[in-house]
Amino acid sequence: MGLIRFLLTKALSKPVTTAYPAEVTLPQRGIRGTPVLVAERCQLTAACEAACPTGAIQVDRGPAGVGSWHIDYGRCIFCGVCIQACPDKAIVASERFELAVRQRGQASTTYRLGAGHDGS
Amino acid sequence: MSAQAAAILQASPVRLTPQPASAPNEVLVLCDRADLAGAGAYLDSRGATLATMVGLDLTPLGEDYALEYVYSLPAFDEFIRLRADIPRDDPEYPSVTPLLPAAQWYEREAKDLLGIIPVGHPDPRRLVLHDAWPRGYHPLRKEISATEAPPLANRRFDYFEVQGEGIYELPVGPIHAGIIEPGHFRFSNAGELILHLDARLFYTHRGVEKIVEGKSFEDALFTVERTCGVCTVSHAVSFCSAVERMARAELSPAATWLRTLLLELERLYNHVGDIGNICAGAGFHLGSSQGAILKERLQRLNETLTGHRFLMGVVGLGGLRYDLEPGVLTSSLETLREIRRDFEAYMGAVLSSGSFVGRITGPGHVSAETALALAGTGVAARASGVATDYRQEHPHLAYPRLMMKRQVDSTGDVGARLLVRAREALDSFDAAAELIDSLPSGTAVAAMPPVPRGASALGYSESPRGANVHWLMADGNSRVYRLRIRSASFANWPLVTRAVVENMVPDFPLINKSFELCYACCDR
Repeated sequence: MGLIRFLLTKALSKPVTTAYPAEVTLPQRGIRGTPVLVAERCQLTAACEAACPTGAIQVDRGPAGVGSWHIDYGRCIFCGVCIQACPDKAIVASERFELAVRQRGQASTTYRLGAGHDGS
Repeated sequence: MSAQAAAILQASPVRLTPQPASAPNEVLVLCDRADLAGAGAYLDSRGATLATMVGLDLTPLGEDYALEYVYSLPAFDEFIRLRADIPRDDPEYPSVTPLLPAAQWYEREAKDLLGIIPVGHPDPRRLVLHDAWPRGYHPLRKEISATEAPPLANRRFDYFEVQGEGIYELPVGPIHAGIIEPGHFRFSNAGELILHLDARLFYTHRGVEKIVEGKSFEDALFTVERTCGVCTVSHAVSFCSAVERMARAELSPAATWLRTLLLELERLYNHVGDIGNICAGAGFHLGSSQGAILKERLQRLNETLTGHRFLMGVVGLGGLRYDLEPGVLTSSLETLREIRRDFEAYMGAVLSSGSFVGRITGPGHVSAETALALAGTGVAARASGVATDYRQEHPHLAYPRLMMKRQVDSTGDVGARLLVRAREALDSFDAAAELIDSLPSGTAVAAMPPVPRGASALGYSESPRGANVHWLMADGNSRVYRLRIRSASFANWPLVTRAVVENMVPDFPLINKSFELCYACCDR
């Protein structure tokens, strides 16, 4: 294709960029985004903690199935090993890709599990 | 060992004693440190090229230091690993560089990181550790801990100075205006003309090879895969293949196919993106923005297929970490066809711009002699008429079946490197489609057999920038004892400094982009 025709074709076609963030922009299907916990499935086996190559996950087990699941997205490398390691399929790759935070501490999430908690 | 390799070793004027090695196409040869240069020159005369060189601290095993020069015999798919012991109380050897210039950076690196001195090296300045590092401190020695921070001093850098009337120096970097990695370039010029370029790299040296020592192969893979952002599949495949060769593990047909597919997808998005970047280097905005759009579409395809735009986290020991969905693979065929069609239209338009073609024709010339002497690899070598491509020389994975052409151009300038990439990208589109069409059934995931204590092996693959050669040695517990990552960029950076000589300073960004080398995987 000649340069002028190519240029005209491109100039007359719709822009490929989007009005992000004003417009909702979805990632590709299948993206391995932030690992998140499906709290009702978690049995606190801590298999994820053992498998995580960067030590991003911490599981604290209290008495009678009470405990917490903590992930530091600042350490997470999105390898997906925790998802495979969990015997209860309690970790899934979310589609979340917007990870910027103002302070380092905000890059982590804790889920409280067991009696009286619903996993938030 | 092949009969041809055996014949070459037998005819050597230097005494070379072959030992059994872990992998079928590797020969371990012991020689005296005084003979490293002579043996290297002899192998070079028989068509061998330096593939990598590794320095070893074997003192915890009750031995001394050692150096291993690994030569590739491209004609017979063979590697000759020439090893010499270096006594720890006298860590010196006659430098190989005066006879084989390709050894220059390897020897400087071993001097910095292990304190093994190449006597007679023509450029004994520091390379990896900048002048601020303490003298006599060699971090790859086993007694040094990976987490210790040495005291840094404020010292001046040494530069090559060109002297004479009207000669001036132009410092560029290490911080650059674009989103590129750090590197300091010191030009010596007469008017517009570059007389000499001193490139100081290794600002992104993170000690990857030291960090992975003592790690299990599984854990080390995550670090190795992130040596750089754009050759991740190639690094992961090279590393895994070194482990698998030590363990004599066979890949399943599905794993073989899918690893090849991932390598070709990696080549595709890199080559297409690099062509766009060359346009940017020439100030040709239509070419660079449309190139970026094509690259983005390819990276979105990567994300759909593997969950990751840079294809990380898929390659695993023994095959892949998980199986890819056949339905997603098949549906990507249509996407690949569309992008291929648009890429062809794009290339047609780019090459019909007379001013752009005029700009890329001529600058950054590298002769075949220079590319051979410095053991250049990948596109950089092929665009200078050196027909080296590990996909054919050391057929791995599904490449013997794919029968991909070696795309060679003997012009040696920016334009040649662009054209070689364009042709290879078309080949990669076809190869990816063929691989998906003929994908064998079965799983790509497999458990690894144990790795024998003290084993060592090479792993290699042809990345978008050339051969990534990993040299790996295991300790007794399936952990890394020593890893040497020879990235294609490490081999090719010295070519860049040659390519700019007698060019104009304003052409440097264009010439640099035509190589599009990676700093992180050179520096490690």
